[in-house]
Amino acid sequence: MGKRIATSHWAMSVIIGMVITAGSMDYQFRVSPLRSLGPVGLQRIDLLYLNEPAPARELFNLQGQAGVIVFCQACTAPVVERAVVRKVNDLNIAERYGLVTKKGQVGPGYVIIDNRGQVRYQTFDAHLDQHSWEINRLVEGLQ
Amino acid sequence: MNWLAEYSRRHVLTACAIVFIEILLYRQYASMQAEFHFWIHGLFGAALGMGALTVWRLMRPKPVKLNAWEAGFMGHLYSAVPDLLFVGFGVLHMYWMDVFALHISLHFIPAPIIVMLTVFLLTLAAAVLANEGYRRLAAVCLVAGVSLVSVALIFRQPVPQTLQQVRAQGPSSYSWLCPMAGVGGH
Repeated sequence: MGKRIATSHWAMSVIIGMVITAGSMDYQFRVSPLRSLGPVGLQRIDLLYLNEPAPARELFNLQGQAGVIVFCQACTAPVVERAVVRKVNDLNIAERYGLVTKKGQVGPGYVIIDNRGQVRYQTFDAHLDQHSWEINRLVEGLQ
Repeated sequence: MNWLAEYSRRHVLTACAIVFIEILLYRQYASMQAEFHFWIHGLFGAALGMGALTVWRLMRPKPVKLNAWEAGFMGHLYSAVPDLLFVGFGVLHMYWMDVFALHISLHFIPAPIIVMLTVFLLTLAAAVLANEGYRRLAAVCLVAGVSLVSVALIFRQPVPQTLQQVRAQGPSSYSWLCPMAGVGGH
Protein backbone atom coordinates (compact mmCIF):
# COMPACT_ATOMS: atom_id res chain seq x y z
CA MET A 1 0.00 0.00 0.00
CA GLY A 2 2.71 2.42 1.04
CA LYS A 3 4.64 1.71 -2.14
CA ARG A 4 1.56 2.34 -4.32
CA ILE A 5 0.77 5.59 -2.58
CA ALA A 6 4.35 6.69 -3.09
CA THR A 7 4.03 5.87 -6.77
CA SER A 8 0.83 7.86 -7.05
CA HIS A 9 2.44 10.91 -5.45
CA TRP A 10 5.40 10.72 -7.76
CA ALA A 11 3.22 10.21 -10.80
CA MET A 12 1.00 13.17 -9.97
CA SER A 13 3.99 15.35 -9.19
CA VAL A 14 5.69 14.43 -12.46
CA ILE A 15 2.51 15.26 -14.38
CA ILE A 16 2.17 18.62 -12.59
CA GLY A 17 5.84 19.39 -13.16
CA MET A 18 5.66 18.51 -16.85
CA VAL A 19 2.51 20.54 -17.49
CA ILE A 20 3.85 23.59 -15.68
CA THR A 21 7.24 23.31 -17.38
CA ALA A 22 5.66 22.98 -20.83
CA GLY A 23 3.35 25.94 -20.23
CA SER A 24 5.95 28.30 -18.84
CA MET A 25 8.55 27.38 -21.45
CA ASP A 26 6.00 27.86 -24.21
CA TYR A 27 5.51 31.37 -22.89
CA GLN A 28 9.23 31.97 -22.46
CA PHE A 29 10.32 30.85 -25.91
CA ARG A 30 7.26 31.26 -28.14
CA VAL A 31 4.92 33.94 -26.76
CA SER A 32 7.34 36.22 -24.91
CA PRO A 33 9.62 37.01 -27.87
CA LEU A 34 6.56 38.30 -29.72
CA ARG A 35 5.56 40.53 -26.86
CA SER A 36 8.72 41.80 -25.28
CA LEU A 37 11.64 43.86 -26.40
CA GLY A 38 14.80 42.82 -24.65
CA PRO A 39 16.37 40.15 -22.60
CA VAL A 40 14.66 41.30 -19.43
CA GLY A 41 11.27 40.54 -20.90
CA LEU A 42 7.91 41.98 -20.10
CA GLN A 43 8.15 44.02 -16.91
CA ARG A 44 4.59 45.13 -16.71
CA ILE A 45 3.78 46.71 -13.36
CA ASP A 46 0.93 49.08 -12.70
CA LEU A 47 3.06 51.19 -10.39
CA LEU A 48 3.40 54.99 -10.41
CA TYR A 49 7.18 54.83 -10.17
CA LEU A 50 8.12 58.39 -11.18
CA ASN A 51 7.56 61.71 -9.43
CA GLU A 52 9.44 64.63 -10.96
CA PRO A 53 8.57 67.78 -12.93
CA ALA A 54 7.44 66.78 -16.41
CA PRO A 55 9.84 68.00 -19.12
CA ALA A 56 8.31 70.36 -21.68
CA ARG A 57 4.97 70.23 -19.88
CA GLU A 58 4.17 73.80 -20.99
CA LEU A 59 3.88 72.48 -24.55
CA PHE A 60 1.09 70.09 -23.61
CA ASN A 61 -1.34 72.82 -22.49
CA LEU A 62 -2.75 70.73 -19.67
CA GLN A 63 -4.06 73.76 -17.72
CA GLY A 64 -3.72 72.17 -14.31
CA GLN A 65 -5.33 68.92 -15.32
CA ALA A 66 -3.86 65.44 -15.39
CA GLY A 67 -2.66 64.38 -18.82
CA VAL A 68 -1.83 61.31 -20.82
CA ILE A 69 0.79 62.23 -23.39
CA VAL A 70 0.89 59.72 -26.19
CA PHE A 71 4.11 59.45 -28.17
CA CYS A 72 3.80 57.81 -31.56
CA GLN A 73 4.10 58.37 -35.27
CA ALA A 74 0.79 56.78 -36.17
CA CYS A 75 -1.43 55.28 -33.53
CA THR A 76 -4.90 55.49 -32.05
CA ALA A 77 -4.94 57.26 -28.70
CA PRO A 78 -6.56 55.53 -25.73
CA VAL A 79 -9.88 56.72 -24.39
CA VAL A 80 -9.20 58.35 -21.02
CA GLU A 81 -11.97 59.79 -18.88
CA ARG A 82 -10.26 61.89 -16.22
CA ALA A 83 -7.26 63.26 -18.05
CA VAL A 84 -6.42 65.31 -21.09
CA VAL A 85 -4.95 63.24 -23.91
CA ARG A 86 -2.31 64.78 -26.17
CA LYS A 87 -0.48 63.16 -29.06
CA VAL A 88 3.14 64.07 -29.64
CA ASN A 89 5.43 63.12 -32.50
CA ASP A 90 8.44 65.23 -31.61
CA LEU A 91 11.70 63.29 -31.42
CA ASN A 92 13.35 65.70 -28.98
CA ILE A 93 10.49 65.60 -26.49
CA ALA A 94 10.20 61.84 -26.84
CA GLU A 95 13.93 61.62 -26.13
CA ARG A 96 13.50 63.55 -22.90
CA TYR A 97 10.88 61.04 -21.80
CA GLY A 98 12.96 58.04 -22.84
CA LEU A 99 10.42 57.07 -25.48
CA VAL A 100 12.66 56.75 -28.52
CA THR A 101 13.42 53.25 -29.74
CA LYS A 102 16.84 51.95 -30.75
CA LYS A 103 15.90 52.67 -34.35
CA GLY A 104 15.17 56.31 -33.54
CA GLN A 105 11.41 55.91 -33.73
CA VAL A 106 9.08 57.94 -31.50
CA GLY A 107 7.20 55.49 -29.27
CA PRO A 108 4.67 54.12 -29.39
CA GLY A 109 4.30 54.82 -25.72
CA TYR A 110 2.92 57.31 -23.27
CA VAL A 111 3.53 59.19 -20.06
CA ILE A 112 1.07 60.15 -17.36
CA ILE A 113 1.36 63.61 -15.80
CA ASP A 114 -0.59 64.55 -12.68
CA ASN A 115 -2.36 67.86 -12.10
CA ARG A 116 0.74 69.28 -10.37
CA GLY A 117 2.75 68.82 -13.55
CA GLN A 118 4.71 65.87 -12.18
CA VAL A 119 5.42 62.94 -14.49
CA ARG A 120 4.35 59.76 -12.69
CA TYR A 121 4.53 57.04 -15.29
CA GLN A 122 6.28 56.25 -18.56
CA THR A 123 6.07 53.22 -20.75
CA PHE A 124 6.34 51.98 -24.29
CA ASP A 125 3.10 50.49 -25.51
CA ALA A 126 2.58 48.99 -28.93
CA HIS A 127 -1.19 48.65 -28.38
CA LEU A 128 -2.21 51.88 -26.72
CA ASP A 129 -5.79 51.78 -27.92
CA GLN A 130 -6.32 48.33 -26.40
CA HIS A 131 -5.18 49.40 -22.94
CA SER A 132 -7.59 52.18 -22.10
CA TRP A 133 -8.83 50.25 -19.08
CA GLU A 134 -5.39 50.02 -17.50
CA ILE A 135 -4.54 53.63 -18.36
CA ASN A 136 -7.77 54.83 -16.75
CA ARG A 137 -6.93 52.91 -13.58
CA LEU A 138 -3.49 54.54 -13.52
CA VAL A 139 -5.03 58.00 -13.96
CA GLU A 140 -7.51 57.30 -11.15
CA GLY A 141 -4.54 56.28 -9.02
CA LEU A 142 -3.13 59.79 -9.30
CA GLN A 143 -5.84 61.10 -6.95
CA MET B 1 -4.35 4.28 -13.91
CA ASN B 2 -4.33 2.29 -10.63
CA TRP B 3 -2.27 4.97 -8.99
CA LEU B 4 -5.04 7.50 -9.57
CA ALA B 5 -7.43 5.37 -7.56
CA GLU B 6 -5.34 6.01 -4.46
CA TYR B 7 -6.55 9.57 -4.31
CA SER B 8 -9.63 10.37 -2.27
CA ARG B 9 -12.70 12.00 -3.73
CA ARG B 10 -11.73 15.22 -1.95
CA HIS B 11 -8.34 15.25 -3.66
CA VAL B 12 -9.87 14.69 -7.09
CA LEU B 13 -12.47 17.40 -6.52
CA THR B 14 -9.93 19.93 -5.28
CA ALA B 15 -7.63 19.09 -8.19
CA CYS B 16 -10.46 19.72 -10.67
CA ALA B 17 -11.42 22.97 -8.91
CA ILE B 18 -7.80 24.13 -8.92
CA VAL B 19 -7.36 23.38 -12.62
CA PHE B 20 -10.61 25.22 -13.38
CA ILE B 21 -9.66 28.31 -11.36
CA GLU B 22 -6.12 28.33 -12.76
CA ILE B 23 -7.54 28.30 -16.29
CA LEU B 24 -9.80 31.24 -15.38
CA LEU B 25 -6.83 33.11 -13.93
CA TYR B 26 -4.74 32.43 -17.02
CA ARG B 27 -7.49 33.64 -19.31
CA GLN B 28 -7.83 36.84 -17.29
CA TYR B 29 -4.09 37.52 -17.48
CA ALA B 30 -4.00 36.62 -21.17
CA SER B 31 -6.89 38.97 -21.94
CA MET B 32 -4.64 41.78 -20.69
CA GLN B 33 -1.60 40.35 -22.49
CA ALA B 34 -0.04 39.80 -19.08
CA GLU B 35 0.82 36.10 -19.14
CA PHE B 36 4.26 37.02 -17.83
CA HIS B 37 2.66 37.81 -14.47
CA PHE B 38 0.66 34.63 -14.41
CA TRP B 39 3.85 32.64 -14.73
CA ILE B 40 6.22 34.47 -12.40
CA HIS B 41 3.68 34.96 -9.62
CA GLY B 42 2.11 31.57 -10.20
CA LEU B 43 5.40 29.71 -10.12
CA PHE B 44 6.79 31.53 -7.11
CA GLY B 45 3.49 31.54 -5.24
CA ALA B 46 3.13 27.80 -5.78
CA ALA B 47 6.74 27.29 -4.69
CA LEU B 48 6.05 29.29 -1.55
CA GLY B 49 2.96 27.25 -0.72
CA MET B 50 4.71 23.94 -1.32
CA GLY B 51 7.78 25.16 0.56
CA ALA B 52 5.66 26.02 3.58
CA LEU B 53 4.00 22.61 3.40
CA THR B 54 7.40 20.93 3.23
CA VAL B 55 8.73 22.85 6.22
CA TRP B 56 5.60 21.88 8.13
CA ARG B 57 6.07 18.22 7.20
CA LEU B 58 9.74 18.28 8.13
CA MET B 59 9.07 19.85 11.51
CA ARG B 60 6.01 17.83 12.47
CA PRO B 61 5.86 14.08 12.13
CA LYS B 62 2.04 14.09 11.96
CA PRO B 63 0.73 13.65 8.42
CA VAL B 64 -0.83 16.71 6.81
CA LYS B 65 -4.02 16.37 4.81
CA LEU B 66 -3.00 19.10 2.41
CA ASN B 67 -1.55 18.02 -0.94
CA ALA B 68 1.30 19.70 -2.75
CA TRP B 69 -1.01 21.08 -5.45
CA GLU B 70 -3.45 22.43 -2.86
CA ALA B 71 -0.66 24.20 -1.01
CA GLY B 72 0.74 25.46 -4.30
CA PHE B 73 -2.62 26.81 -5.37
CA MET B 74 -3.05 28.71 -2.10
CA GLY B 75 0.43 30.12 -2.55
CA HIS B 76 -0.45 31.24 -6.07
CA LEU B 77 -3.55 33.05 -4.84
CA TYR B 78 -1.54 34.73 -2.10
CA SER B 79 1.11 35.94 -4.53
CA ALA B 80 -1.54 37.19 -6.96
CA VAL B 81 -3.36 39.37 -4.41
CA PRO B 82 -2.00 42.66 -5.86
CA ASP B 83 -3.11 41.65 -9.37
CA LEU B 84 -6.54 40.63 -8.08
CA LEU B 85 -6.80 43.98 -6.28
CA PHE B 86 -5.86 45.78 -9.51
CA VAL B 87 -8.31 43.93 -11.70
CA GLY B 88 -11.10 43.85 -9.10
CA PHE B 89 -10.79 47.26 -7.49
CA GLY B 90 -8.34 49.27 -9.59
CA VAL B 91 -5.78 49.37 -6.77
CA LEU B 92 -2.38 50.18 -8.26
CA HIS B 93 0.75 48.31 -7.34
CA MET B 94 2.91 49.74 -4.57
CA TYR B 95 6.33 48.85 -3.28
CA TRP B 96 4.99 47.47 0.01
CA MET B 97 3.18 44.81 -2.01
CA ASP B 98 6.40 42.86 -1.86
CA VAL B 99 4.82 41.31 1.25
CA PHE B 100 2.75 39.28 -1.23
CA ALA B 101 5.45 36.82 -2.22
CA LEU B 102 7.89 39.49 -3.45
CA HIS B 103 5.30 40.68 -5.91
CA ILE B 104 7.28 43.75 -7.04
CA SER B 105 10.90 42.58 -6.71
CA LEU B 106 10.35 39.40 -8.70
CA HIS B 107 9.94 41.47 -11.88
CA PHE B 108 13.53 42.63 -11.74
CA ILE B 109 15.44 39.42 -11.18
CA PRO B 110 17.46 37.96 -14.07
CA ALA B 111 15.66 35.43 -16.29
CA PRO B 112 12.53 35.55 -14.10
CA ILE B 113 10.52 32.76 -15.74
CA ILE B 114 13.37 30.26 -15.88
CA VAL B 115 14.53 31.01 -12.34
CA MET B 116 11.01 30.74 -10.98
CA LEU B 117 10.37 27.50 -12.84
CA THR B 118 13.53 26.02 -11.34
CA VAL B 119 12.48 27.13 -7.87
CA PHE B 120 9.03 25.66 -8.46
CA LEU B 121 10.41 22.29 -9.55
CA LEU B 122 12.80 22.18 -6.60
CA THR B 123 10.02 22.83 -4.09
CA LEU B 124 7.71 20.38 -5.84
CA ALA B 125 10.40 17.73 -5.46
CA ALA B 126 10.93 18.78 -1.85
CA ALA B 127 7.22 18.44 -1.10
CA VAL B 128 7.03 14.95 -2.58
CA LEU B 129 10.25 13.82 -0.92
CA ALA B 130 9.09 15.13 2.45
CA ASN B 131 5.77 13.35 2.02
CA GLU B 132 7.56 10.08 1.34
CA GLY B 133 9.88 10.46 4.32
CA TYR B 134 13.06 11.45 2.50
CA ARG B 135 13.63 14.28 4.92
CA ARG B 136 17.25 15.02 4.14
CA LEU B 137 16.73 15.12 0.37
CA ALA B 138 13.66 17.27 0.84
CA ALA B 139 15.65 19.70 2.94
CA VAL B 140 18.39 19.82 0.30
CA CYS B 141 15.86 20.70 -2.44
CA LEU B 142 14.27 23.32 -0.23
CA VAL B 143 17.61 24.93 0.64
CA ALA B 144 18.58 24.92 -3.06
CA GLY B 145 15.34 26.71 -3.93
CA VAL B 146 15.75 29.32 -1.19
CA SER B 147 19.38 29.87 -2.23
CA LEU B 148 18.40 30.36 -5.86
CA VAL B 149 15.76 32.94 -4.93
CA SER B 150 18.26 34.73 -2.69
CA VAL B 151 20.92 34.91 -5.42
CA ALA B 152 18.34 36.10 -7.96
CA LEU B 153 17.23 38.87 -5.59
CA ILE B 154 20.81 39.94 -4.99
CA PHE B 155 21.27 40.37 -8.76
CA ARG B 156 17.93 42.05 -9.48
CA GLN B 157 17.95 45.31 -11.41
CA PRO B 158 17.16 48.51 -9.52
CA VAL B 159 13.75 50.07 -10.11
CA PRO B 160 14.28 53.39 -11.94
CA GLN B 161 13.13 56.41 -9.94
CA THR B 162 13.72 59.19 -12.46
CA LEU B 163 13.41 59.76 -16.20
CA GLN B 164 17.18 60.05 -16.32
CA GLN B 165 17.48 56.51 -14.99
CA VAL B 166 14.81 55.35 -17.42
CA ARG B 167 16.77 56.86 -20.31
CA ALA B 168 20.02 55.38 -19.04
CA GLN B 169 18.50 51.90 -19.01
CA GLY B 170 17.44 52.32 -22.62
CA PRO B 171 14.33 51.26 -24.51
CA SER B 172 15.11 47.57 -24.26
CA SER B 173 14.97 47.38 -20.48
CA TYR B 174 11.37 47.76 -19.43
CA SER B 175 7.87 47.73 -20.69
CA TRP B 176 6.04 48.90 -17.63
CA LEU B 177 2.51 48.34 -18.63
CA CYS B 178 2.18 46.91 -22.05
CA PRO B 179 3.63 44.47 -24.54
CA MET B 180 6.30 45.61 -26.92
CA ALA B 181 5.44 43.82 -30.13
CA GLY B 182 6.77 45.58 -33.17
CA VAL B 183 8.77 48.15 -31.23
CA GLY B 184 12.48 48.93 -31.42
CA GLY B 185 14.62 45.99 -32.35
CA HIS B 186 11.73 44.01 -33.81
